[in-house]
Amino acid sequence: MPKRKLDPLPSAAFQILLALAGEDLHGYAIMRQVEEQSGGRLRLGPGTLYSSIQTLLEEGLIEEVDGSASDSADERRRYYRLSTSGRKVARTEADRMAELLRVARSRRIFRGDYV
Amino acid sequence: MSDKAAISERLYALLLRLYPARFRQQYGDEAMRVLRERLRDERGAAAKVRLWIDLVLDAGSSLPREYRRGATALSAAPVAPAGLPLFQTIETELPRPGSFFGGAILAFVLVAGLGFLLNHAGKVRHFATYYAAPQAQASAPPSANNLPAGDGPGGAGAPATSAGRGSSGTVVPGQSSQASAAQTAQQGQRVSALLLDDAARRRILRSVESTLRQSYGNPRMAELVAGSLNANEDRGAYQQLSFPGDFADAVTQQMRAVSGNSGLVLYYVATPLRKIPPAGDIHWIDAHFLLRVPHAPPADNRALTTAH
Repeated sequence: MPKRKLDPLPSAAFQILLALAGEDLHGYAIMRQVEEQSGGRLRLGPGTLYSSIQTLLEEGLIEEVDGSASDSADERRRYYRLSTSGRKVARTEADRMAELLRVARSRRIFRGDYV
Repeated sequence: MSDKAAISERLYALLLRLYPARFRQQYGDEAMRVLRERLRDERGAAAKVRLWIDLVLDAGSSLPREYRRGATALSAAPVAPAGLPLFQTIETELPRPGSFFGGAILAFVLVAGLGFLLNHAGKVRHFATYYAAPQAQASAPPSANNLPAGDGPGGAGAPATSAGRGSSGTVVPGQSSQASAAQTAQQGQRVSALLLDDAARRRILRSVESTLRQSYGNPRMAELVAGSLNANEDRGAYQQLSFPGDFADAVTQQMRAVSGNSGLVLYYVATPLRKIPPAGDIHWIDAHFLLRVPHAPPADNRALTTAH
């Protein structure tokens, strides 16, 4: 079985999948959403953003949808939507992280609020 | 749009040109739009600096990935059956007209430069090569530049360098029979050297004269020798001496004739020398010339009397 490009799932790709879990977004909105959900720790530049989007499109984890009706014709921009398989991959990755978290808790490496 | 924003956009457009054409075609406009929105939302000098740091780091991490993606696509292309040619279109975008123009200019400059070198190699310094002329060597008068290895004066090793390197590049006409034999063996050997023009000869002569005035034990004699070199130059006596070895011989002969001091020698060294301080009686004149000025000139008074 050929190795998938997104196995393991890069952090930027996972963040984009999470950002699109709520609604369809265009590039800049994805960037802002990722920045917000990572507490400002991850700011995707245009190169990384669109490179990751391209990979996710190629793997069928997201799909391109028509621009919002509120955009004018010449300002029409590309929106992206999480696909069914993308949602599945995001859930698998979240489960994997939850399992890691469970192990970390059992090893008592957390203190205070995390316990 | 402010001027600063316009400049930022232009700079980012240049940065975007580093990406593969496929990426620019698909996402170039979107990336520019993202930049515009960040420029609009992130105000203040600190935010702008942070934005540009982000953009540069982003380019550094995403550029290799995009080029790898192109290489992966190429390696994933179907393999041709044995013996059948297979053509794949990697880029769908045609080269820009500016690329053709730039390529044409570059090709023209390269071809013109090559042609120039082929036509002028013998006249341009550092490209000049010549064959030691057998006739010139045979008729060359005995001189310091003819000394066989070991006959040169001590100190700094420079004269020994000059004579010792005769076989590897110095123009060394023969003085003794041994030197003549070695010289004969060298006839026709290809020698790389700088050819001297008027300006180079003038510069060397001025340096020789100045060194003589400063270092020769007999100031009056130094002045006489320097004056005679100057007069010879004015008469055009060195005009035909393009080969540095011949020039060094002629200058040496002149210095000896006027001073009667056979210790005065102008050495030519084919291998370029770095500038060195005076070592013993050896003085650096030029990257290829050394002057020997003995500390205690013998028989100068007699020569001076004769000269007068």
